Formats: sequence, C-alpha cells, structure tokens
Amino acid sequence: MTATVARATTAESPRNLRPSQTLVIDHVTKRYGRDTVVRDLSFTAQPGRVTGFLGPNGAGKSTTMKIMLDLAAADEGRATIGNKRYRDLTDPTRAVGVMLEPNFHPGRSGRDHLRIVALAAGIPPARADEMLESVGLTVAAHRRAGAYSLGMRQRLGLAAALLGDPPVLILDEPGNGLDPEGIRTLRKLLRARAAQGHTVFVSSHLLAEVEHLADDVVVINRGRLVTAGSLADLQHAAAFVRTPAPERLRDVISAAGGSAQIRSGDGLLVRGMDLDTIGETAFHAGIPIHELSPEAGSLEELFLNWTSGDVEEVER
Amino acid sequence: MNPWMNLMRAELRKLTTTKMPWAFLIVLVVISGITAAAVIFGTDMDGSKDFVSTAADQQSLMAFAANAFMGAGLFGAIAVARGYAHGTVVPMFLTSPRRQRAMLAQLAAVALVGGLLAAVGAGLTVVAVALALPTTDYGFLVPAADVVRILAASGFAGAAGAVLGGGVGAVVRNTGGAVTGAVLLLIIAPPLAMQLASEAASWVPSTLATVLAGVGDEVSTPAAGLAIAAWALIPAAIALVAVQRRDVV
Repeated sequence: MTATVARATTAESPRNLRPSQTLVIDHVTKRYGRDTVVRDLSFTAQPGRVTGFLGPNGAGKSTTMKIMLDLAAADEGRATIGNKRYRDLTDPTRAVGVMLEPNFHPGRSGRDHLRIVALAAGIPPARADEMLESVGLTVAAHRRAGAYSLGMRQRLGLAAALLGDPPVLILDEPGNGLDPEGIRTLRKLLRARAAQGHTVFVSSHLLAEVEHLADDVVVINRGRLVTAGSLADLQHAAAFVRTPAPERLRDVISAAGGSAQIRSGDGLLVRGMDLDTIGETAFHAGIPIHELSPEAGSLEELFLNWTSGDVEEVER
Repeated sequence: MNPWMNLMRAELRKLTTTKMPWAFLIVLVVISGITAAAVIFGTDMDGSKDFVSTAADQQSLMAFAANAFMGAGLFGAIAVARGYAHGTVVPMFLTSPRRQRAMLAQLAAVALVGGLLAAVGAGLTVVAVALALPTTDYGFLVPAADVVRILAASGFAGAAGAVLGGGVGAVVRNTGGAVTGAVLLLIIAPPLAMQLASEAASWVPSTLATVLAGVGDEVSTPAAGLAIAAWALIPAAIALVAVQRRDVV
C-alpha cells in the first residue's frame, strides 16, 4: 500500500520547502518471530506539514518510528529521511529531532541528561540551558529526572529533540502528560516549525489534539496502512445520502468499491466515493435519492471508522 | 572536536553524573580499611606478624590487581547494562547511529573509569598498609618501583575488567543478567576451567593479575598482559558485533 500524505506545495505552505526533509517509508515490513508487526507499509511525510501518525495500541506505530530511526531493522523495504537512511546522516542530532518514550537515567539531573546529548553531538553545552528554559524546566534542571512528573519528562524529551535545532521532528506521543497550557505551547511550537518549512511527524492517541495540530494524517492498524492524506480532505471524504432503499443502495455501493453505513432509517453514510459517482451508481441501479450532500466528520469518528473494520476482522 | 572525542566525553559524563562510581569508591575505602585491620589485628598461626615481615609479603598483601579485575568487571557490566534498562542507549544510538562507534566510546569510557577506580583502590590499599604497619614491628619495605607496579597493574587490570564487564553488559542488556554473567565469567568459570585442565590455572584472570602485580611468575609479564587483554577483548568483540546486528529496542 502506498500513499503520499502531503502535497509538496500548498497555498499556505512556506516557500523554502526542502525536499531533503521528506520522510519516506517505502514498503516496510517488520517481523518479530512469526508475528508481522508492520506489513508492506508505505507513506511519506512532507516538509512544511505536520503529519499525525495514528493507530490503535499495537498498530505498529512505535515499531515504524524505530525503523525510521534505524533503532530497528526492517525485514523488507526501507525508511529514509531526505533520501538517506538515518544511519547515513552525517550529523543526525542537527538533522532530526527525536522524542520517543522517556529515556532518562532516573538518578541524573535533567540538565546533565541534555548536556550529555549535547556533548555527544558536539553541540555547545550552553544550548542545553537554553532548551531547558524554552520548555520551562530551568527551575527543575538540577533535580533528578526520576523525580520529574510525566509532563516534565515529556518537556525534557522535547528539549532534547530540539537541541540541535533540526529541520525534521519525529515525536512519539509528545502531548502525553502535558497540562492544557503545555499542550497549547507544544501545538504552537510544532505549527511554527512546520510554517518554517520543517517536517513534523507526530504519533498520538490524543485525536482531538491531532485534529487541531495536523495537516495530514497517516493511519495504520495491525501494521497496515488504513488511510493517509490531508486531514481536511479526509474529514470531508464522506457523503450523506437519503434514500427510500438504503439497504439496496448500501449493497450497490459496496459492490462498486465504496463503503456505506446505514444511519437513522433512510440515511446512509458513504465513504470512498465522490458525490458524482454515488449519484451515478444509484441512478444506474434505479434507486431514487432524496438527498446527497458532503458530510464532515470528527477525527475521532473517522478514526473509529477506519480502524473498526480491522477489529471486526480480527474478532471474526 | 572529532566525533570520537565528543562521544568519549559524553560517555565519561554519563558515568560521572550518577552515584555508581561513588558507590564503588566507598567499597574501595571499605576494602582498604579491611586490609588495614588485617595488618593491625591479624596474626599468623603462631601469633606472629610474619605475614608482613618481608617486602614480598607486603607486596602480596597490597597486590590489588585481581580484585580490580573482578570489581571493575562488575562496574563495567552494570554501567553498560543499565543503559539498556533505563533506555539511555536510545539517545546514544540516535546521536551516533553507527553503533559500533558509540559502543567503542562507551567501552573506552568504562575502561578509563574502571582503570582509575582500580588504581585508586590499589592506592588506598597501599596507604592503608603503610598506615597500619607502624602498629607492627615492621616498616614499609616495598620499594617505590614495586608500588608503582602495583598501581599500574591494578589500573590495567581494572580497565580490562571494565571492558570485559561492559562487553557482557552489552550482550546481555539486563543489569541483573549482566552482573550474573560477569560473576559467572570472573568467579565461577575460572575454577571450572582449572578442574578441566590444570594448565588453565596459569591463564585465569586472578593468576594473570598477580603476575602483573609482580607477586606471581606462572607466565611472563607480557604474556599476562596479553592474556588479560584477551579476556576483556573477546566479550567486547562479541558485543560490538551484537550491537550492530540487533535491534536497539
């Protein structure tokens, strides 16, 4: 499955887009023993866009991110950042900012943690203090990271990701544990980065947050791509149809490659088909239509829709 | 500064920003205290203090290299394995995706700190013996050159032990498992090897360390040095291969 998530240029995209910052997952498969956790997964995330990476627990999101970062090897396919594998980046800390689950020694202070990363990357240690200040951790900088709250650890992880001022950010659940003010600050920061032409790739369970933050989404379930594209397009990719023969129209639409769910008696919610095609399909089947209109859905609604089919498949 | 030096500095900072080296230092102080107590209160079977009556006896008492090899082995195992336990290997390999380079820097750092701790341990033992000897009828008889040899042997054995432990830690990736692995390799395996082949007795770390410290002559000093290095480098080489081939997390 292949999907191109974001367009390289849009009306509101910045001018200085750098194609070298595109994230590409190209037919990646990963197996652990007999379990295939990522299956033939392909998508791209473009500079100048915030891409939300969604999927239920165990969908393969973390594994995919680890493959992107060469922390895990793909059995098939490859992941590149600006046409290079992560391991081939000459200065990775300045090229890609990464925040995975908190990885701190509990007995080491937040400042020391950042200084160690800075030292290893050849970044002046003073930058660690700047980053601590930017995420509001200056007061707690000397305290052991083990005594930090989840939100503070998240902020420390974000500070580490931003240490090299990289043009690509790969963040795993960055909003976890943040208070509303923290989430708002994070959203502003990531939006600002994307506006500067940076690539921002964010996995999250907080669908409402992704709805506010992301330009594009990639949804996976059970290691497979479910859907990918512009969030705005996806949210408007459904149509509401009112017909006196909803069951018949549902079957006809399914046979034509779309999907339809019956809603409230004579209503149908149709996905995977544009309005013209729905109208023509109904016309050719001789089914009268009383209403045909675009239907916008919330991300939560869409997400459950995208992933429920696979759940049913598993249950069967 | 070149990437090697950056990684080395980062790894050294990692080691010095936790309490672990201080905990080992406290253990070394305790060991030197026990040595001093042995000199002050210990006697031979006949009640005499003959066990400190010659330079060779005193040198034997101060030869710390075998302890250094084992202690630093545990230090290296814990230092490296806990990086996996706490996930701090993730930022390490993100900063240096050529994992063997990062691993080498880590091993070099544990070798440096392990060697330093071992030399300090030897120094504390020498001081403890020197301070305790006036309570006996004997003075401090070990020549300065031999004291230097004791310190150097301990430093070298400590560095080698730390590399061995670090290698085990990187292969096992679990702190408890790494400590168990290091104990097996340092304490359990040598006597078993000696039971299987008596010639092996000359090549186990404790014997080699005493040769290096100048209180044994089972093999030549250069051979002892090479053999101790081999004990360290084999697990380290396995770790370098494993770290490149396996997924990090």
